[in-house]
Amino acid sequence: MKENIIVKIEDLVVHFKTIDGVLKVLQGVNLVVHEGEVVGIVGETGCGKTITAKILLGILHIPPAIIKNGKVIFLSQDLLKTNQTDREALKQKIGYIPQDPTASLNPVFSIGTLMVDMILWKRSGQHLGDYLWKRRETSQKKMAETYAAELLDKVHIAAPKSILNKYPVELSGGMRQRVLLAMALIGSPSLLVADEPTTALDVTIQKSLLHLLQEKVKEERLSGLYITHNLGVARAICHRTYVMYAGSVVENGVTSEMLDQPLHPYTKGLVNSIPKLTGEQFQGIDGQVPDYLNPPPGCRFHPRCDRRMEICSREFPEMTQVKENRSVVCWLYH
Amino acid sequence: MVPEQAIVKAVNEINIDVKAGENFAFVGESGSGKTTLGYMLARIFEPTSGNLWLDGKEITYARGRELRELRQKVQMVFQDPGSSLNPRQTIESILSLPFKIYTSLTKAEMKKSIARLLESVNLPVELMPRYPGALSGGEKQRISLARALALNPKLLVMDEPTSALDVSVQAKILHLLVDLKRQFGLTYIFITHDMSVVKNISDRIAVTYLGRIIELGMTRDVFERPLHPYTKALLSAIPVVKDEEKRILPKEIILQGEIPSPENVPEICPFFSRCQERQKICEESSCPDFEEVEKGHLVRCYQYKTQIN
Repeated sequence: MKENIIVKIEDLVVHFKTIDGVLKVLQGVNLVVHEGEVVGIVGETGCGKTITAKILLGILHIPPAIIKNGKVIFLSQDLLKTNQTDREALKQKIGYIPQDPTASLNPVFSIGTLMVDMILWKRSGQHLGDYLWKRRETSQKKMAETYAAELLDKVHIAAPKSILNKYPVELSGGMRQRVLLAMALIGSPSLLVADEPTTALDVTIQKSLLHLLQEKVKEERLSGLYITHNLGVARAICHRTYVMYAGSVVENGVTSEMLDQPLHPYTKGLVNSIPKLTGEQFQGIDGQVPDYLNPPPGCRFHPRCDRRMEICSREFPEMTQVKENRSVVCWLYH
Repeated sequence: MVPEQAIVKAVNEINIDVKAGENFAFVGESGSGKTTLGYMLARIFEPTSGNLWLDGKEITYARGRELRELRQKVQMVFQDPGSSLNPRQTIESILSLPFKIYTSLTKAEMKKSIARLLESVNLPVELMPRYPGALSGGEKQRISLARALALNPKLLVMDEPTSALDVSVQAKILHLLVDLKRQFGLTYIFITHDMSVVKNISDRIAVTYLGRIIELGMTRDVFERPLHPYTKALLSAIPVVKDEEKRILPKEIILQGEIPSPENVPEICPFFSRCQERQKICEESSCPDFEEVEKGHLVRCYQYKTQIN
């Protein structure tokens, strides 16, 4: 089952046109999501992980973004080369869980209204005329309401019917995030894209939400792309993870293995920065993330790297496949 | 802190003493009251009732000159580096304010003091004419720290000082905090939900839940022998990075239900609704008192009650 590839991003290069110049953000991102697995993208602020996800979701504003190169293949179709109609049809199979539950739920509508709206929109294949007609049909709305309650039940929200009548402000952060998960499951998607869904949540609530996510991934036979800056969360929920720095993937592998034995100096630096329960020494990484206007030549991490060699400042490293599903982009391993 | 219809006892009968030179942490999640507590300790809020002492002197209702003197001794560092610095003031202007209010230094002397402050937080003097918007998150937080240190305080109250920063930056700030503490003989009160940070830099911790301290002890004791069911759940929820850390965690506890609202909290144990070890007595009695289970390690939980009346 793991051989089926759900997502394949190949050599993605994305620039942004700004008043100050061209930001050369994504430098050649390569990643794969197999069926049934949850793949993580970890990185610090500005590394390009959210942009990568947005391209997959088709919500990146182009312009100012310019896709200079690459393929974004979902269910064997390159989204960048598909026409609008087919792309919309494909997008139906992706569920998106955004980051901030407070900002993502319209506060002036009840949960029921929000969910029914989304259900009807998806059911009408995002065809405006069809959608407007369905909204006026009581029977359609009733069916949608029943479906909404079923979805809320799936995410273990107690008394789902009463929640449909509540407004987002009446729910806690954890509950709002569960509602967002329920909405992402509308239409039985094949892929869930989650953008830091637990960042704004308390740690015990985060734990129960991650547990719920794992349960749903298994039950609904989903694949997942999980974006986070928290390595511990990646370890908890992602089978495999890609580490991004300044617009490209520097390392990837089975999450637990990669975190226990990181290869790339940046990954090592990241792991070392985190205070551990074992109390061992932790330290940050010197320097700052590069400016995308004038990124350093060669490997973008080389100015901060304590293992850098002469070639690192000249040429961008090639990827080295260490073993199956484990690779690193660094001259040290070439 | 009292909205119209509900009473929010944000901080409910906290009794604590923080020793000089200690790094004391209040840990807890939303609604625990830890931030309100921090604001009260820094005398930004006034307590509704109770007493606060600093160095043996009561400061609960300090006003006027007494309060001004207090401000020199107790300073606060806030969570969001972006919003705690006035974006329309230069760094020099921001850092000169404490001196302007509390001292009568000349402009030249102030500039020297500011330069020294910047140096102590490892920032270049060249930042003085810049605006906060030009600084990174880590640099902004260092400025907040510098500002807090301007008047040589004795106590720094810090509310999640590194939560908004990337991990590689966080590590540097934490190290800086440790250095500064040693260099200036400071006492720290840390407010945070990040248990990994607490494990590494705090001496003693108080675990808070819905306005009460439910466990108190030396950091190592609380981590190695967590007593309260909530402490155990909190520890088990830490998203650890390494395998060795996983083996230190208590067995996995996934709490059902939501954190209750801090409005109208009943007087029983605040954790009752989500506790997986609850007993009948927990629902029928008021919140249990502290029980010292081992030296310096206290807990408020009926399963440790040696004497039940």
